[in-house]
Amino acid sequence: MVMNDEGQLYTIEGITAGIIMLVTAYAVFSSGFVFTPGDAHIADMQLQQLGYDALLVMDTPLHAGDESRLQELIASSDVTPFTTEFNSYLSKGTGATYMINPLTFTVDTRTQWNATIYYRDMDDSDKIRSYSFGHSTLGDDFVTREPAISVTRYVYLDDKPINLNHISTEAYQKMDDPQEGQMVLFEVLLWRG
Amino acid sequence: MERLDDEGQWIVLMGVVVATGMFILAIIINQAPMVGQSTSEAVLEFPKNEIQDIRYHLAPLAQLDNSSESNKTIDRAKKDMRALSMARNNAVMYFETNSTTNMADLFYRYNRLTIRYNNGVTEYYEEHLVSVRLP
Repeated sequence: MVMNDEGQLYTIEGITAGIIMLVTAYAVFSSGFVFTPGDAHIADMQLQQLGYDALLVMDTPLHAGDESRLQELIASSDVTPFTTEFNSYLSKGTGATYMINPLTFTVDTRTQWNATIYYRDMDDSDKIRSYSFGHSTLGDDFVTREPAISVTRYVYLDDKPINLNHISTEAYQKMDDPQEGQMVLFEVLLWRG
Repeated sequence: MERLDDEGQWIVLMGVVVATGMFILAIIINQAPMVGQSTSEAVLEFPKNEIQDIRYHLAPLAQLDNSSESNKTIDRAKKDMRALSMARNNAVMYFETNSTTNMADLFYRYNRLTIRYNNGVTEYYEEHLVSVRLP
């Protein structure tokens, strides 16, 4: 039987086309994606949701009618326990770990934050005043940092927080103590450390 | 006159089909990064959590009765939330409660709660009845 050696050109063309397709596919999949500032939206969105969720968890009472943990801590001006608990909520999850040294890996705790309480001035105008309510380890350093996103939560307070003068003398003087309770706005700035 | 060679039409057709297919796949890859981008932009822009937060705090207020103490609490919350949302969340927020309606059935009395929220991008209006268990 004689070998059929017709259509050699088709074979060569097929092989050439195959190589071109492989090179194209390689070029597409090996291309790196540059993380531009516009892409920060994706991480920011996750950070925002994390922040709102952490505040929601802290502002949910254990039993109906009880004070929430967040209300408790603001009412007693306890900044240190808030810092610890809020940090633990932020670092919860199955997310990425990072290396402290080659033998120790830890859950990502690099998310930095800074919390502020906003309240209405006692002169009954619409003037808004504020006092600081804790920050993460590097959270008070506003010299250089990533752009922050803000998460907020309204908190209802029955009375003026006690020991407020230990945190801020100005807030102690300017914050109202209405019989009927008041709403304050708890704002946390979050950024990737 | 030389005859036009019209054999191998299938090969030509397959070439066109494969080329079109690769073109479409390339467009899909090209669009993939944009999906995550525009979705997260939309999520960031929409004040879902703010509105949920407002509703969370207003429902108990709307359940209050029509006593002068309750009205004081509601007025205070109204002023506080309006000023705070304007100052910190760039949003106009207003709510109204009405516990004087005579809507009731055998077990519940119904108070009306109206919420208006507008941050320039998202406008939210809600009117609903909050049930209060009759004693």
